[in-house]
Amino acid sequence: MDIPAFCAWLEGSQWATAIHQSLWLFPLIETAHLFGIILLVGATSALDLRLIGLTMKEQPVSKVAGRLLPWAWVGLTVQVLTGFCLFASEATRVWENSAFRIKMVMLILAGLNALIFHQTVYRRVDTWDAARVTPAGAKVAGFCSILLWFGIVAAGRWIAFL
Amino acid sequence: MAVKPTDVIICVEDAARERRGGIEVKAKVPILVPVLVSCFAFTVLLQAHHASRQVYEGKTIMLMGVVTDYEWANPHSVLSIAVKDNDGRVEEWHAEILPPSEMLRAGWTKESLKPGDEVTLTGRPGRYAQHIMWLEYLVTPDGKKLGRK
Repeated sequence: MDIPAFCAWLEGSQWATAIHQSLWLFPLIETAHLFGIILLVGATSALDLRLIGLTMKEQPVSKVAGRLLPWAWVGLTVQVLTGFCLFASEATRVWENSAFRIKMVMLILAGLNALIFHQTVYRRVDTWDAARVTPAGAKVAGFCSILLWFGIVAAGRWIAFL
Repeated sequence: MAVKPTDVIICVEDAARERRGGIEVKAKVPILVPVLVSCFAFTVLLQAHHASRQVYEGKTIMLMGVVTDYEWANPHSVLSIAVKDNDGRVEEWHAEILPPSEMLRAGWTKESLKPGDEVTLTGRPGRYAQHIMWLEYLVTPDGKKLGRK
């Protein structure tokens, strides 16, 4: 099944139509999607600022990551669930929306950025855990993460205007 | 030490930069870029959305046509009408109305219109796309006026 056909099938489903035509469900899911992004980007940004070396410098990086990343995962779960519902309710229109496509590309890049960071610099965190000045790789990862997540939020908001 | 918004302004001065340590301060500038760009983007967006001027023109036009579809939907309901142009060709127009919750408040229901109804629309045409409109109000066959609250 190609993607436009999948979109048509998805938005034609009973639950997606129910969201599309609902009085309160759509605004409620939208609101939950906002709370989710606060949780997700709030947690990742605080860690990113530690990686860049702007805050909590007296705290070991692994401790900051250990405290914040579980909340980021909760936020991501909320975002995937609510985001999929919002997408399903008008799948064809959203799929054709260039802001949505830019957002998805940036999401993939943010995921890759986190993956590469964890596979490389963070794997050697023992050697720089308590350092006030973090390695360049950590700074770059933190900066890219903040930039991408701000972009994802802006692109998400932009979907409504195209 | 927590970063306060005021840090950046204070640290423009050399003396303050000295006090806080040079490296630390320099790193704050790249952070500011996405923050400021995002703030600016959101301000522009919010204004645009409120006035819908990004998508629709400021002037209003009037259209007479026959309802082909009345979709009660999020994020906003859409009314489609068949309009005959000056050369007798029939064009389909799509008018953006309101989300269901606001439709009810403005006096609309799911049953306000049905395909085949003759209506007169007043609204603002699309700036870039053809045959779309931001509906200000319409007049139904029985003379009832429906619009925005």
